[in-house]
Amino acid sequence: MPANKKKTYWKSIEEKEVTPEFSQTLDGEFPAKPEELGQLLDSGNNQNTGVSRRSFLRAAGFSIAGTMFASCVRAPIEKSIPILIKPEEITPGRAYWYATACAGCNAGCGILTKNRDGRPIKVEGNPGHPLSKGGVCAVGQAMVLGLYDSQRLQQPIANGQPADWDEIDLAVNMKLAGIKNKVYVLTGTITSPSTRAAIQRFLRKFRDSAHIEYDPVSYSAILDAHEQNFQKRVLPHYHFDRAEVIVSFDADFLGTWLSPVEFTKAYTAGRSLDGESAKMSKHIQLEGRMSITGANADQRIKVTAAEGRATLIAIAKKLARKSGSSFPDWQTGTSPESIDDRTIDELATQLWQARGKSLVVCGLNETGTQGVVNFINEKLGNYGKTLDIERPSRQWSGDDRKVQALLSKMNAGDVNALFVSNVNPAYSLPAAAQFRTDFEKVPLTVAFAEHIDETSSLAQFVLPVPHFLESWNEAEVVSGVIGVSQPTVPVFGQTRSLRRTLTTWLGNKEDELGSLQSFWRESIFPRQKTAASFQQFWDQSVHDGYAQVKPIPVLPQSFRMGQTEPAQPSAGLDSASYELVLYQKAAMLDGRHAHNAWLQELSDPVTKVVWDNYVCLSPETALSLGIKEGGIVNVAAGDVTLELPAQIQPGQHDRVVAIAVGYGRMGTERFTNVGPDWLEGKPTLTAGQRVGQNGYVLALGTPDGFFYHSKVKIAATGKHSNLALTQTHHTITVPEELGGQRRDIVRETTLAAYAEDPASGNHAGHETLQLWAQDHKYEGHHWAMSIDLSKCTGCSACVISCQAENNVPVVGKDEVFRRREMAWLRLDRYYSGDSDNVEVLHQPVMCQHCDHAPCEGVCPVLATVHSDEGLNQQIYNRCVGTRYCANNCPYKVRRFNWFDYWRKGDRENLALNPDITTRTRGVMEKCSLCVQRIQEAKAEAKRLGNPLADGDIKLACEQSCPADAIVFGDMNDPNSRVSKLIHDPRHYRLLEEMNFRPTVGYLTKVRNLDEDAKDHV
Amino acid sequence: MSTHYSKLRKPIIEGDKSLGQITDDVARTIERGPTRLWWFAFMLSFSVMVVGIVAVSYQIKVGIGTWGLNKTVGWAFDITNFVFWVGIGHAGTLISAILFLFRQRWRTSINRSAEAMTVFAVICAGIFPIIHMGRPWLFFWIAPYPNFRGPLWVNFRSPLLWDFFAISTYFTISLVFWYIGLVPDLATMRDRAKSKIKKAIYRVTSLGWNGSARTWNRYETVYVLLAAFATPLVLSVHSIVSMDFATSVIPGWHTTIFPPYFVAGAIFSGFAMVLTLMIIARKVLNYQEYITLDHIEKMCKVILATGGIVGLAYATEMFMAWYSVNEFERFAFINRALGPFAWAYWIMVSCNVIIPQLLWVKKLRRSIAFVFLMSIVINIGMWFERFVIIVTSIHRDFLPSSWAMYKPSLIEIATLLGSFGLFFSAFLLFARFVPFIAIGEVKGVLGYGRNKKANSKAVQNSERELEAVEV
Repeated sequence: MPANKKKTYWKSIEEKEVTPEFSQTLDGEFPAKPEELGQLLDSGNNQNTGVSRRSFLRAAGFSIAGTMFASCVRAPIEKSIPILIKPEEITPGRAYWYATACAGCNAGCGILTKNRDGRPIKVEGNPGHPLSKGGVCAVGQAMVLGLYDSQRLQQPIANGQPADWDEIDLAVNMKLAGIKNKVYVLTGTITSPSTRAAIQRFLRKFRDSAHIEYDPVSYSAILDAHEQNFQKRVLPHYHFDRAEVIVSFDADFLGTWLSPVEFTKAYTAGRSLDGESAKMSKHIQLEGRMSITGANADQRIKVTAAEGRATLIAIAKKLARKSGSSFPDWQTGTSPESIDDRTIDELATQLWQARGKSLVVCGLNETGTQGVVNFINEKLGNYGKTLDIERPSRQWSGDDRKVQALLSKMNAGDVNALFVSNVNPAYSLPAAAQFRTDFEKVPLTVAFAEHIDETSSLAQFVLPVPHFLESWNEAEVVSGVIGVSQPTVPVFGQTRSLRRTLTTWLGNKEDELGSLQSFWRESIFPRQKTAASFQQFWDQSVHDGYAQVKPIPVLPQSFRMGQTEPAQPSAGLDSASYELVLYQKAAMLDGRHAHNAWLQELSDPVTKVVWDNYVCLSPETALSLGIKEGGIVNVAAGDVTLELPAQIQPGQHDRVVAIAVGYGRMGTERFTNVGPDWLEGKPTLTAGQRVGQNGYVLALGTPDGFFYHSKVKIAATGKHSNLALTQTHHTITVPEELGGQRRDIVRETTLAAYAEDPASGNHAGHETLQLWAQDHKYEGHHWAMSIDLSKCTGCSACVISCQAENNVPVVGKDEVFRRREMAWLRLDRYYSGDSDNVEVLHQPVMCQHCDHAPCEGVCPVLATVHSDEGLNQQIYNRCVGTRYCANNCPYKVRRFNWFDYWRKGDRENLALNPDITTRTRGVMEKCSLCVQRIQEAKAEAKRLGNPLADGDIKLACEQSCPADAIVFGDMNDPNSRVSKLIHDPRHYRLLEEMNFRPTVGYLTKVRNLDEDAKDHV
Repeated sequence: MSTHYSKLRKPIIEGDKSLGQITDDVARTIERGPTRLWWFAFMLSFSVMVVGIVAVSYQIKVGIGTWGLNKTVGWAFDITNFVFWVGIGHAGTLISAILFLFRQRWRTSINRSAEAMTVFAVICAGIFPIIHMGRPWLFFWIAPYPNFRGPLWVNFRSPLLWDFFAISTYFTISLVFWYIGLVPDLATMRDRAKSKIKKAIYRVTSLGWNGSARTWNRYETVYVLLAAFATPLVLSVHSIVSMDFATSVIPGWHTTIFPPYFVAGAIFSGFAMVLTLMIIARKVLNYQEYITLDHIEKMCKVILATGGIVGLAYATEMFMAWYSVNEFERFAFINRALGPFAWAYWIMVSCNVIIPQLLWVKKLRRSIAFVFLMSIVINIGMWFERFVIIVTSIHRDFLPSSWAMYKPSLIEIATLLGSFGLFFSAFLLFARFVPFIAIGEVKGVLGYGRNKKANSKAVQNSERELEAVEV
């Protein structure tokens, strides 16, 4: 070997030759792409390529290990049924929509159901509907869960035994054959003309028979008062958008009263600051408790019912003087202590100045007082303008006096057959106990019900009715506007609607659709002119979800003052007694949806309590009685007592205690084990307990109607029960002893100040700097959201919408008590002002999608990252659950799966949105700005070849908002609505001084007050 | 043996020991077998550890919800315990590395046990970041390695990742350092072992040590190198732990003073824990002549100094909150001192700042009972310091709507207890099987500060010993 030649050592020929392929394999320790691996394996002359022994073994080892691993797992047998003959309209993975009419309450809003894979998964507002105009409330949203309620009745029951329909038809007909008279059909308000006609036809066979409508929370007095005043028993159709001055006495028209979605739409339309000049109605609320409506009022006057009644009479007298008419010299029984003469004068003057553009509404179910309201509206010339009785509302038509008459007949044994449908008198009547006894004496009792409830459990025959999302129906909610319900899913079990059952008993064998269509052909089709053929009209109506036809004219006679003096059920309060106000919660209403877990866990817009009802007390009252929050209070009216935990409610009248009805429902025992089961976990309910307690027992059933105000005595019991609140610090200021500063979270101003300076209340003047302004350019879209706090009423429709859209689990009372609710979107509620004049601020807060997101930097595993469209994204699969992101979130919008909150195998899981994964325990989740909707809209735009237009993407919260407070869009598009709102002088961002650069922004809250906004600047 | 004689220098090791006596003293505690007291202490610690294991198993099976955390307070006992144990783990390396480099010879009596304490404390600490995860079985995802999840890299901006590196590095270095220091002593044990099994074990673990000059030379080179490696870690680990908070945006966490403040606090608490352990050990194992009152006094002085820094940090935080004119920052500190967790804050201030001031009194520094009590008080105070920083800052941050309270669950309390059980079980096993005092190192300082008389006494002692052996 020559001495100058250096000796070389080599491991392989490839290394010695240093082929380019070889150096490539040296670089790539791990072949990144499958094709590279393939290339390595496939290339023909492996002598000279990089298929070294190592890479071959690596590939072989991987395949063997992979095969072994795969074959070790016993794959579950999945039974899938291929769609051999694909239904034309169903493409798996694509949503399709059905227009239908909501029957969550009687308001009958127009809704769309989003169907995936043959089943509805989401309820949204129908933007074309003439009344609800795209809004839908929390209850409506939650109906999709109600559809999949596993405890809904599936089969008829005859005398406690399951039966089939033929047996039922036979048995009932045999019983009916022996009955000639005194047959009564007791239903809730029937808004369906065909059902109403079917009942009438059915009753024609029997003498002394009647169809009686009964609303557990009754509006009968409004209809009765109109009967006295105009000789027509109608419910006016209110137009809040046309009113410049709104005076509401105890009517929670933004929360629960009559038709809250429609009213919220109209109310916010009349208070929009979007136009050229600021125009805003003035809303004055007189009430004893704190309602959502009161929380939104420009001026809120605390009154007891007696004081409010006296105030109305005083106003009526003043207006009588002004209009030169007379008003009966009714004694008010009490002087309005809380209101001085000057205020009454001001109210009367404001109303008088807005003649024809004002509206007075009253929530008391009491004919005399409603007569006074009618007098005021009549003298103000509001009939035909802000309220309409010629095209009246048909949403509520219960008749208390007829119900009371029926009850006495039942008591006297004067009823031969009673058919109860869609109401639950054995629960909701003040004298429910008496009803139960009398009901069992009736020879034939038939209940049409969705669940076994207090009434149906006593009936001889229980006939299951379908859920409205699985049946054909219609609802003429306002004269001339008929909503059409269509089945969105095949029926669960053997159910039959009331209409079809009654027509079957009459010998008509038509099916659900057939019986409805024949009614429409006869009665509805002639009322319209646009469509030439019935089929065309029907198809269009089903497609739209409603039909507009000629109203059946109501010709009211001229106004005549009624003779009924206002009743005084709660007059003469002494120092030991309090006025009880029974009210409905926005989620629970009259109790009909007590089976709905979403609604049970919806944080009350005002009190923020879930899974309970309670006694609301003013702070002063609670203090004087030595009652703390959660302390059990004994409420006694005569010999009826209730024991409920206390909830301290700022802004409530000191002489008023308020209790929500709709609780204590039979069947709510099912929720005992909602929530995780662990060492220190408490069940949502103790065994056998129901959610809350029945407040109806404290209502008064008089021959004149049901009163939801009465006189009670209250006393502390010394016991305690934990209320589960989603928010425990209630003011926007820090505690007094820790400085008492007001935090600049909700910015507000007054209309007067806004007129002078649109940016009033929004002069924080923070200039924030960016260190790397060009770091993220957001060249495509940059999504943003704007929330108008002036419009938001706090109704919480968005919360349920978000829950349904994003598969947010129900966690149970104990978890909420531990502050672990999962809501991605929450409604913060703050109180401000002094105790005499408590103001309420609502602020929806979801992930703010900060451009400088504090959460993103701290995640060790990159489970939360920023998209190039400005979204802060959470990747569940990557999350290991360190929770640092949530700790570092200044808005505390991140939600952690502390347990596995999902229950496997429940039918309720059919309501899950298949676009969204359900999260397992140990991962973080939060608002994604409905990224699935963004992606879907982008894909659709691409498919159609159109650029994405502003408004193509509607987020779940935005879609359902009855107040149109939420706007989502692309802030890179200067013409988008959201871009314009960002440049609105009212626009600000939460904690903007901290420079997190959230893309969600807010618009200041403006109240229609004259005073300067000095305090707010 | 040292040839310096000074009246000012007191001997580090008392009792005029001979070299052989030292070996005997240290080896005897291992060779005599477990005492009843040891069994009692071990069974107690072990039982407490089992309670912790049950609690953690339950938590991993059922979910993190078994802790008292909520949507607002996402960390509480878990990270408090983590920072507490990491802090405890600081004294060992400080004593063995920094004091070694600064030639503080008194460290030799306590460095072995302090290092052991460090290793066990870091083990205790390391458990919490893993079990606090929602999905602890995926904890390895925070390690950057080529993987089949994309491959998905980790987020190098996250302080939790820095933590992962800092703690694992610190643990590795501490363990290696401790073990290298053990090698000569293990060889001693090997040479003395009578049973074959023991001999075999010690033979393997002593890595073929033969006591030659070359072995000693290599050994000391490695030792000083490791000391140099470990020194920056003493400062970096807790600095990085503090960044878990300092890099956040939460008022009360987002504080630039945190790194030095945390390091001082860590040394403060670490020395307190060393004192707690040493005061018991010197009594039980009869090491009063090795771990003397002077040792205790010196450690008290370290505590006094670092405690002063901690007190200054508390005051600086308060001042900066006021000076910042940031309403959130101000509120965070007012809320700390006067809010619902004020009790925890005042426990912290009393235990860490006010009570340790008594150590200015020399008499108290040399009172075993007092110093023992003081060390416990400081440990309690330092645990509360972390609790206060973590919980009072997040429980009331920016939006009052989200303010919440925190109450620990039984599982969390059991987990904290369990970590103490683990720590003491491990420490007892260490005291039982490993030379508690670094025999080789102590021998090196034996002559330090001895006068002629003492030396001759020691010589006599050793002669007597030799005679005894011959007989």
